[in-house]
Amino acid sequence: MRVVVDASVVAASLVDPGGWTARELARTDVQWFAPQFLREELEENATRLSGFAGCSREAFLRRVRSLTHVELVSPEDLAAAEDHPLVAKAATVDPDDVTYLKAVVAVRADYLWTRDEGLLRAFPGLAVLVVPE
Amino acid sequence: MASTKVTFEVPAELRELMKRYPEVNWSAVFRDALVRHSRLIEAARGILAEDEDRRILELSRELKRGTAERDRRAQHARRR
Repeated sequence: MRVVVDASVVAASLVDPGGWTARELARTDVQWFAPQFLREELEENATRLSGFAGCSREAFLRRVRSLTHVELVSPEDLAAAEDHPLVAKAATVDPDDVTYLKAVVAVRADYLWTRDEGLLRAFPGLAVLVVPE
Repeated sequence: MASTKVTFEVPAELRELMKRYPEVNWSAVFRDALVRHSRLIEAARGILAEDEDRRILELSRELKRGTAERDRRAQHARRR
């Protein structure tokens, strides 16, 4: 199964690295994907973003680097997906979600795992909210 | 409300003290203490969960905006 994770899921795993979301992201029976831009944002703004996660910059970067099972979707692959209808639809819902839909198209993902209500409503069946059993 | 019986182990000295005051409904005293303590735990958990949710939401918003901005800049650069 191929799953793209969005900012909300990555944020949950960074705020609580021992929590359920972080443990799910360590599963090896699922192929996880996220846009490379997300990783760049995390690393280049670690000082500012670590405040949201409630930890030091160093601890934050350790948490980011522990997401080893999440494969990054390159800017080139994202660009190749920009004319897809799913991407066009995302632009009408929230332009800031476009990158994640590009990633879905680029890697032919089965699901987009998100906590974002807008995405869940706009893409039923594709965007899913996974909750602990 | 249905009730069930729970057995507690207490130090012998406490048991002796309880015996000295047979007029006190010790069962009710224990029950009230348990209710108060359970409510405190529930409240603390709720506050922690809410705080965590707020931080997730804020970090998520920042990441989403930053990621989209990088993507848009790359897109503009390609079109130039």
